[in-house]
Amino acid sequence: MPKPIEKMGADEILASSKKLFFGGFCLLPMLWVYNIFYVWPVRNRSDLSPQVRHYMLLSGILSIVLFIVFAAWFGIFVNQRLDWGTTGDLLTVVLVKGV
Amino acid sequence: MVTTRFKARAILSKIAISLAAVCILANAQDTYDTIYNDVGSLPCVRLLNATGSIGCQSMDAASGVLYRADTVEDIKQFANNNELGNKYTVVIPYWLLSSSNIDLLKSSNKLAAILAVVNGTDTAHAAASRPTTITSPDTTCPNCDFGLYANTPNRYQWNPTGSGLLFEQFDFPIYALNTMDNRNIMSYNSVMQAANRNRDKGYRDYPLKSLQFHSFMWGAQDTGACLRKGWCTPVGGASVWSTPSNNISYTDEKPIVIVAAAIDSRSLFHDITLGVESSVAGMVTVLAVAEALSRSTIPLDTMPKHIVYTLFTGEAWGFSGSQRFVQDIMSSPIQCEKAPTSGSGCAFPFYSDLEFQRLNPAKIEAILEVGQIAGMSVAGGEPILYAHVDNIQEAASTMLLNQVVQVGANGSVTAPASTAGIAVLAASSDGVKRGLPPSSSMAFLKSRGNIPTVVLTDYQKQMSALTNHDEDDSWNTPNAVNLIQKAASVISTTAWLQAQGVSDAAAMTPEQTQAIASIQVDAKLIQDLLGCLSLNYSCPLVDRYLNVTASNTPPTRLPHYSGTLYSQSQPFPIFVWSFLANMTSVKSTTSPSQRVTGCSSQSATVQCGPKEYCVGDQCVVSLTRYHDAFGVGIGMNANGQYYIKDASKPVWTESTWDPIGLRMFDVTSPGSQVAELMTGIVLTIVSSCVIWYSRRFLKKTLKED
Repeated sequence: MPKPIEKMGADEILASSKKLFFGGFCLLPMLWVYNIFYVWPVRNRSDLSPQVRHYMLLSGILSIVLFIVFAAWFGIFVNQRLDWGTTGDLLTVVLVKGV
Repeated sequence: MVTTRFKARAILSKIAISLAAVCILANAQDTYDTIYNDVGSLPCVRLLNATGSIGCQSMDAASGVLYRADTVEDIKQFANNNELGNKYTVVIPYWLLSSSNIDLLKSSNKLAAILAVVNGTDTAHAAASRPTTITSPDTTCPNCDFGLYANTPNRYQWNPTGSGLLFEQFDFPIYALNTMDNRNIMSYNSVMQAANRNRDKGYRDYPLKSLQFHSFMWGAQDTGACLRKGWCTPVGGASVWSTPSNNISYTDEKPIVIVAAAIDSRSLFHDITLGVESSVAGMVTVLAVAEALSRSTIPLDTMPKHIVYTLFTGEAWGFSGSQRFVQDIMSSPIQCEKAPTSGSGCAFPFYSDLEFQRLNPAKIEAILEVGQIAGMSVAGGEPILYAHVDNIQEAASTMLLNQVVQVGANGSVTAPASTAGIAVLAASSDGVKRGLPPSSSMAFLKSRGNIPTVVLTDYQKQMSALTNHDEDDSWNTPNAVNLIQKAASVISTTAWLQAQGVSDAAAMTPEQTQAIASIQVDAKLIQDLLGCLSLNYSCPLVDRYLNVTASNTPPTRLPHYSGTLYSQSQPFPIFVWSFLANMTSVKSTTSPSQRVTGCSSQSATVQCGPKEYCVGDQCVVSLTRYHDAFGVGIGMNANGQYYIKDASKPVWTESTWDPIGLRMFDVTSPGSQVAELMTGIVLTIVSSCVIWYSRRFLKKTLKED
């Protein structure tokens, strides 16, 4: 049973947060979202290193930026893929019949 | 405590198992049959071209209460009736299927699907109720975008009344009802019975009869997109060409006389495409010409010129058959990169047969084509045959035109007396030069404009209103036979004179005079062919060649839509092939001896020679070949996949689809449907609560034990 974050020491929280933040760069952006939710309950602890808040903030910014990028791409893809011809077909995993 | 819980569980699981068993034991098919009644279906389907799609598509299974509308007033009443609170399948006579009426039905927001009755026994649908003015569902100039005058400004409109219905897109199902055979009569009767019952109930007294349609088409956008995804197949089939000149070669320097017509036709509902006016009469004419010429006492293969019969498939789809034939003979010799593993032809570039390389396109010296000729456009009045020529290089065809008109006038030479009243006139005899009507010859003239060409039709200015119509099913047989006989007589005589190189009958030798008298067109044959190729494919004539009556369900009326390439049987090309193979091999210097018979009936003992075919139980030597027919804009790559090679040329494809069909069932009122749903939801909630409470109760009680 892993230790709940409330019972972790400040250095352990920093280590976890750091791992989650850098892990996100390995094409795992959901780790950034997780990072925020994970550290959120202890964000106001006085003994916490300020670096933790940095990692949270950066994770948050990257999550939002990526969300916008993905949402924009999704919108463009859904509306334009039929016009892209062969390229559109290549980018589509499941071709939708009848449209 | 543990044992009690086990017992309770065991009882529960036993109940569950027995419930499941009951469900499985109740035969699924029986349940289906008590709910649904499958109805024979004649759908309108989706077709695609270079720029878009036409025809019908419905993304989901549309269903609607049967509603009967017999007149335009009924349709208006339906559209304006706010008391109708459901989706409806509107049953209308075919002739009400017009853009304006469809828009009216759609605007009501109550339309689920349309059933168009092409021919029915109800007085509202009977042939007698058909309006006197009919409009062709094709465009005002069918296929002209792919014809000889495609780039001519203000080209002549041959079909001015054309409504263009065939080229519209519908996002709901449209099906036809037609009482053409027992199965379809049953469907019609059950639908009409249900629609009448609904009407008697005022469309309010539920349960009402409803129809559900499955009409989901895979292909979308255009031909390019759907070919890439493999969701459509090129529209096409097999053309047939045949020549009595068994030894014809590319280099023999002998000129060629082409006798041509189309095999296929189109209409909104492919399963009932008949096209007696559009194509069948022309096809019958060419077959009758081949039979008449086979009687020539001077063998045709000894003449100074070759005669080649060509019957094209896919003509209704941008002249696909003729254009591909011309394209192929123009590109011979073919550089075959990959030989086929078996049989003839070439694997890549794909050709199912390569004998066409023996035809030298530069040597084509005359084309005689038969277009619409059944006389179905002539209401009363004297039937007249009109000979059309190209108006760009008109001089090239003048001599041939004069010959056709002269042969038509000198009926006494070969034409039977019954056709004496039918005149043959130059179409430009009224002083207006309209050029050629939409025809297969255009493909040849596109490659070389100075080929003398005459197209014979029964119209001068305007194509029949029944062009590509679904209701072209009532022709006057004696009239049609007379016209076909006259046309066949004119074409056979002209072709014979052309092949002999005789321009003036007066200059003929006694032998030639005797030979030309020997080519007589057989009226009985024409009548048989017309009957066989329109309404009864299992007739004795076809049976003699193809033994069709041996089948458990002998075919009767078959659709004249070409179908999709290599995926459907081609009954008409097959018959045409057999017939022409027989006719072109009759009097030939290469097969003077008696034919061997019994090759199909006693196949164990009688074997045909290596270059012989078994046709109608006889071994014949004949140069008769199929030729692939599909849009010349479509190419096939080395892997056998189709792609768009040239989007400016015909690229018609037909969408693939999920199983198509329609079924009838009783539907309850929308109110009771909501009530049923609510009851279900309430029951679910109540039973959930009961289970939750009883579990809690059981837990407590068992713990206390």
